[in-house]
Amino acid sequence: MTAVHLRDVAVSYGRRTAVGPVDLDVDGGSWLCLIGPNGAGKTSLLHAVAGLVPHAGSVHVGGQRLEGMGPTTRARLVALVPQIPTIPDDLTVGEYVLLGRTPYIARFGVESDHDRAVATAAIDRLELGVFAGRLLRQLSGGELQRVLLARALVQETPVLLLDEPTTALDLGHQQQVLGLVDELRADYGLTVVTTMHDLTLAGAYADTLVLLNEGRPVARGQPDSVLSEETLRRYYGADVRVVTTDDGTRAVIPFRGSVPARGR
Amino acid sequence: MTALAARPPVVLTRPTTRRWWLAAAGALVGAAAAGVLVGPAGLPVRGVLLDLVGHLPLVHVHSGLSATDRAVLWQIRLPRMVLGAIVGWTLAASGAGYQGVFRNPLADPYLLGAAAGAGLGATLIIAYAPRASGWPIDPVPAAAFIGAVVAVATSYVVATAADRRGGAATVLLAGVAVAAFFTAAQTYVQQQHASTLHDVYSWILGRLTSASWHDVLLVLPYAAVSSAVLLAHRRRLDVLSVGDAEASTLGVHAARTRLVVVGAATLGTAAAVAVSGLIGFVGIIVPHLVRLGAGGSYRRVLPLSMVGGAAFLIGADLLARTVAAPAEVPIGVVTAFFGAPFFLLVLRHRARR
Repeated sequence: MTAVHLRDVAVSYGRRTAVGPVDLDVDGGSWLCLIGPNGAGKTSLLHAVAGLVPHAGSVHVGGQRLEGMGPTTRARLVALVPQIPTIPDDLTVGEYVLLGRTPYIARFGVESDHDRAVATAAIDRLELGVFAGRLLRQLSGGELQRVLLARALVQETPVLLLDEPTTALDLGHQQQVLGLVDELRADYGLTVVTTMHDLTLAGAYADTLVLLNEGRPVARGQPDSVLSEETLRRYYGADVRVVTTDDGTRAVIPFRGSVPARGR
Repeated sequence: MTALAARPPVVLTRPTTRRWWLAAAGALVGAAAAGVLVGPAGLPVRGVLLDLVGHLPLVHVHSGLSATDRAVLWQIRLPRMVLGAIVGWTLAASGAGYQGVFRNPLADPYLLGAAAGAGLGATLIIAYAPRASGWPIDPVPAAAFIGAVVAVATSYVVATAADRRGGAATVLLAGVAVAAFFTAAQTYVQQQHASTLHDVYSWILGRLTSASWHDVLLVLPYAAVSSAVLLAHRRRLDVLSVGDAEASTLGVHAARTRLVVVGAATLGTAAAVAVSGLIGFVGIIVPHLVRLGAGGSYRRVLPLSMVGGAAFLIGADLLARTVAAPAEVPIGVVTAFFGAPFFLLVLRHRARR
């Protein structure tokens, strides 16, 4: 299974440093979740790993350095499900999922039978068969999130990046999608890096949490070490209770608090 | 395995494509036949068919057409029909390409200044070059071609100077500015040479009136190269529909793809404009009609637009030379006058579905 190593990764927009420098090691086959307040740099860091933003430092996936790698080679190592994907109006689910095979198709080529078989398998796996002929804009939020997962899955990358995969979903669909990601991780030995706002769900599904604040990791480790009332109060400026449920999961419960608005 | 086998097969791509291919091919054959047969000199169907067959190698038949009929067929109707087909196919394919790379349904092949540049080029020649012969080639089409290519290249250079990544929005804005600039220059030249107004105006409205085999040979290589490059990018255009950033995570360099597609579309458009003037609306209406029927994937939109565009322009030209016969209506007027309401009808029908 493929590990991911970040060394001195830093992202700047003009003069403002959004991230870093960050060192991060993600064990092969594990799930790491980036948490932190808005603007902490979670998405920027994820985009650096996906090769979407220029950055300093290095990202290694399975021993291969991503910087300087061609986009096709990189797209066979890392797949990204963006937080706000661009949804083409008039492509069908099947056509959209097939786009995930792009890194394996020659510049002017079209899909081979193998590409179609991979896409069909992913669509079956995510129980999207009945939707395959439908247009993307006719899907609900939960269905769409599964379609995005399918597109990422057919890229057959060892590393899967998910930016806020549950933001637009209701409680049940949040669990369904995260459960699915966890199953896929186990089935295909994927290394998963996500960003998430829901700390309870982040703690329930991820092996490791990394709390970013102003672009730098300020806490990292297993969920029960990171999710403490004091840490969350300090970095999120939030009044919360953290309770441990019967099965050992940490639940973060916000309540009507007295913390003043956080200034910079 | 039995559970798997019992599942209905997954439909990855639309099964209805064949129907639309038949419709497009039917429209093309119908338009081509009407384009050849209809006109002030009535040509007999049987005679025309036999004469066409007679031109095949190793076939010897006597068509029974008079020398005049044969001249009408071979020197007037056929080159005009073929030129209309090539121009229509090229403009429709270029429009589809522009819409794909800019993810903008309103994009047409003139968007980045091709029309304004061609207009300026043609106007300069009409205004300043003597009408007398002595040119090795006809200067107006050549100037229009060069003007179109220069305008689009300028848009791209300006855009790249402003945004190294060559984002779609920057290129579009640069195109709007360059088009306005070239149009202003053209209007100024036109104002200074009021006597050329009529010539310039009739050129701008577009026409296939004087179509000859020479024009066909002039435009064909550009149209062929342009269409081949566009068709080769049909899958890439689908990839671009998810946006530049996501395309990049799929391994596609969006800005580079955009540059190649715009280059190919501009080459075809410039050649079409050079021989036929500015014929509007084809590049928007035809790809949209295809999308409404056969779906949005460029694997179908591009080839079907080529066939549909050819049929559409042959039909429009037929109307242009028959509705006010013996006078001719500019074909650009026909494409817009009949095309726009037809398009609105289709949109309405679709909204009701």
